[in-house]
Amino acid sequence: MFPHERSLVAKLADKPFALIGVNSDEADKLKAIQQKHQITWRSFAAGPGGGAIAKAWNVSGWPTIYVLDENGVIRAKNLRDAAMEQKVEQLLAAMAAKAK
Amino acid sequence: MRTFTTPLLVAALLAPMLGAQVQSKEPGDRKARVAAIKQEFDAAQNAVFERYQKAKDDAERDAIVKEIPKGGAYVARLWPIVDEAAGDDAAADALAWILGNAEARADKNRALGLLLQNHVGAPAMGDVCTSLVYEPSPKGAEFLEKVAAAAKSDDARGKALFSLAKMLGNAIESSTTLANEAIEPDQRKRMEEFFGADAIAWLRGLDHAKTTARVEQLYEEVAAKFTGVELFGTPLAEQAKGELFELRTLAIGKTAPDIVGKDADGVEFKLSDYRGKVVVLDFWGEW
Repeated sequence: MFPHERSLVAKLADKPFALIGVNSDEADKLKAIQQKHQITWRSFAAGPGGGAIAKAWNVSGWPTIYVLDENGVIRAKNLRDAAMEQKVEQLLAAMAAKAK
Repeated sequence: MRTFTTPLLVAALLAPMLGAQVQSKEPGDRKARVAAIKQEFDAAQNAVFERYQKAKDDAERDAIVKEIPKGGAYVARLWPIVDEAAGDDAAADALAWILGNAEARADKNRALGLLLQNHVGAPAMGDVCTSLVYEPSPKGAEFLEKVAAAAKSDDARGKALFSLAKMLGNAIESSTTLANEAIEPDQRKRMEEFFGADAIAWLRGLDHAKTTARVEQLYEEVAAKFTGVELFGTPLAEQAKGELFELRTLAIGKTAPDIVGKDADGVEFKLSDYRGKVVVLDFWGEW
C-alpha cells in the first residue's frame, strides 16, 4: 500500500490533492512509523483501533479508503490502487474543467 | 522434491482416517473425534503464533508466516466423519469448521450445501452465519435466509439477519468493483478465483437499488430487535445502528462529516481544512 500511496502523492504534488490518513497505531508511535515508511502525508493520530474517529466513521476493516471531492462530498469508497488513482484523476479533471 | 513428499503426506493423512473408520460410531464419540481434530489444528496454529511473537526480525517473521498450518489437511480428515453419519451434531460441527477453514472452493461449497440441507435449525448456526459475510454468494445468501427462518434462538436468528445484511452489503461492493473497468487484470483474476463462477455471475447481475433497500431493512430489524445478542463483544443492535449510520450519512454523494484531531507532531487539524482539494482519506495502521 505505502509504495503506491507514495508515488500518488509525488505524482500529484502540484495538483489540488491531499492524502490524509487516520492512523490506528498508538499515537506516540506515529512519528517513528511515518519516518520508517517514508510517509510524507499527514495523518490523524487516532490511537488503537482508530479511536473515536474510526467509531464515528463506522470503520471495522483496514485499510478503509474514501475519496472526497473538493467540496468534501464522498465520491468513492474502498477503491484501491489503479482504480482509486483513476477516480482521483477524474475528479481533478472535472475541477480543472470547471475552473476554465 | 514433490514426488518424494507427496506419498508421505498422503500416508500421513490416511493413517488417522483409517484409524478413525474402525472406531465406534456412537454420537458422543463422533463429536469427540471432530473436537480432537479441531484442537489439533488450534495447537499447531498456536505453536506457530508463539514462534512468530518471539521472532527477532521481519525475515524470520516472513519465514514463520509460511508455516501457518493450512486447513486442507484437517478438512480431509473431517470429511470421512461427516460421511459416515450425515445430519447429526458431530457432522454439523465438522461442516461448520470446514466452511470456516477450508482453502478449496469445492470443500466450502460442499460444506455449505450439506449445512443447508441438514442443519439450518442447529443452535450453532449463528456463528456459522458470521463466518460467511466476506464471501458473498447466492448459496450463502440462501443459507442465511433459511437459518433466519428456521432459528429457534435469538442468537441464531439475530446473527443470521445481521450476517445477511453484511453479506449483501459486501456483495454490492464487490459487484461495483467487478464492474469497474479500472481494476487491474490480476485483481479481477484473484476475485474470480476467490468467489468462484456462480458467485461472480450473481454479483454481475445484482440489482443494487433493490439490494441496498433490503440491506437497510435488515439492519433496521436487527437494530430494533437484537439488543441482547452480542457479536465480538458488541450488541448486534448497536452494530446495526452503526451500519445504518454509514449507509445514510457516509454514502457516496453525501458530505463527509468533519474530523478534528492531532497529527504526529501533536498539531491539531481538521479534515475540512482541505476543502478545495480532492482528498483521499485512508484509515490505516502499521500493525
